[in-house]
Amino acid sequence: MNLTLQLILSGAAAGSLYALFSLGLSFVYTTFKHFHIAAAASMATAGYTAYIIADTTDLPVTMALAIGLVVGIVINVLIGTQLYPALEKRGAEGFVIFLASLGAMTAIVYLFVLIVGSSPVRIEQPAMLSQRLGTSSIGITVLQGLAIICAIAATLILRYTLTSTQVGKRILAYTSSPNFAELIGINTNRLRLVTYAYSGVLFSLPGLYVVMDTGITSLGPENYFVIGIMCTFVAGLGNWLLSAIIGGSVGVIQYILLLIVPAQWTLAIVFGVFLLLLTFKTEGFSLKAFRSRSA
Amino acid sequence: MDYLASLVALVSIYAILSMSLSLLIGHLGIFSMAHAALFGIGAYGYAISTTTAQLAPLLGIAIAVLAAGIGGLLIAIPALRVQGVYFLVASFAIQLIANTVFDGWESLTGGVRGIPGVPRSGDGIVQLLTPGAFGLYAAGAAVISGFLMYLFINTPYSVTLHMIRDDEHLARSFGKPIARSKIVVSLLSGAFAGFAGAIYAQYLMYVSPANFQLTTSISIITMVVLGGSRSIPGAAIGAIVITAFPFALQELDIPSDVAGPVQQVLFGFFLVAIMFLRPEGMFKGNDLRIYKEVMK
Repeated sequence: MNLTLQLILSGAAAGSLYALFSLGLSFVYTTFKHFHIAAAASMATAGYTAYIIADTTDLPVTMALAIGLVVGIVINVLIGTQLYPALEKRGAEGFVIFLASLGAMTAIVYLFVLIVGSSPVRIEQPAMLSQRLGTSSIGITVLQGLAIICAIAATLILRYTLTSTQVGKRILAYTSSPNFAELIGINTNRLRLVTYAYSGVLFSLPGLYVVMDTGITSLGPENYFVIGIMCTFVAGLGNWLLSAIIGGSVGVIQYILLLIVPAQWTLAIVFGVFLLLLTFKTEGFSLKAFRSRSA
Repeated sequence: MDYLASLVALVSIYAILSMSLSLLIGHLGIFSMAHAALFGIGAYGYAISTTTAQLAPLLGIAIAVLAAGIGGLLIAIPALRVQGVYFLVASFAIQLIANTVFDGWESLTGGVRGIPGVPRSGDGIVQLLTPGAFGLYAAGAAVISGFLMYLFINTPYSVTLHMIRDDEHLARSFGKPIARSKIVVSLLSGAFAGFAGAIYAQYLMYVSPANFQLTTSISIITMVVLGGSRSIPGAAIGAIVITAFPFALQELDIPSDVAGPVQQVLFGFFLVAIMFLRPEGMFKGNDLRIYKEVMK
């Protein structure tokens, strides 16, 4: 029983990182229809930058993490507000944007591999973050607790922003009809900035977590992207809240599966279930929710 | 000379792979990120059948082609139900499931250690033990594969494929066999990828999961996009450019641990630059010519 509870707690911490990623990808895809694989570059940038600063300067770890977060956000904003619009001005859409995003992701991630090498790099956690909360047999570290809090807070902030602020309402207007939104004078550039800055936070935070936990590698961010984008599509486009919940659940399920199958198979089972859902429940869950609301 | 033969062999393998992916992307509009998985199925199929099962190399190649063809059919299942970005997402899942199987099924694949001692044909008429002979063999395989694929996309049947690619609803309204077309092309694409995988296993004489990851899929897509996804010769030329590039880096005496990331960084920049300068790739293909001929 204790083991199961512990796995659920650890899974919730891992799932909170997936939830952050899913939330960000769902937000970006719903708003601008960008298949933003370069989100993985934002995550890698945050983690690797924090590592490089912590490793090469005398700055405290917290400062290195803060700089990593800012640089991760800046990269995401640059891609979202400079690269994609430049391509869109040339008439690009869909797969062209995706391929450019893929190229940007590959170039940025391997630029860091070139600097720090291909082995995982890790920052020593500040003592405060590695303290354990709970009993000796069941508990999580402060870092894991922070990850869970961040995921919940990020979801609530996005909900509040979209429903209760002017910029949020403009984003929703743009989402439902981009042409009409531009026609009535909504500043698209500002919406891009807000969307990519906020999603940059959501992509960078997992990078900072991973660099303090297992260490960041070139392949890790790609897996986060794949899980995040699958949660986005399984939840149904536009259902960002559900995509975050599914993201969180994936972590818990992945850990609970450890009770039944060897560790190396857990992710394959999760991907397999996602694949079945994507193939046989193509509309995701949002349409069903919408239909039941309509009824 | 051995160095050049080795380059020719590798370029040929990736040319087959790139051309096989262009069948899916350029001619059917199925954008797959799981092509490295099919490549891997072919390589493992050959390695397992010739080492564990001790079968003859020719039989090993047949098994590799068959296994990857079946893999292609499995990929066709989601392609029959979803299109566009939905299939793209599904293909990511397929690629990562394949990675886990290559990594995790140790009793069959050897896990991260891989399968060493993969044989080439060393006796009888076909002697592939020297680099020169192997280079010729791989180049011949690429030319024959390319020719077969070129013939396939230059038949009147390709008009059906291109109609499905451009507008699936329209193709359905014209009564075009969408499901059959997707199955046929996925099967063919998988079979050729498996063939490339088998030759790759022979080339390295070793198979490990590191060669069939998502980054490999990205490299193959870069080849296809660079050359032009709608042109079979274009896809082959894309493969030549991208595969020869690391060899050029070696000529510059860049250490191997640096050359790998440099190559990936430049591939990334290539992709971004192509999307700006020539999103259709170097070669546009000849869809329109075939269409006009059929409509006459």
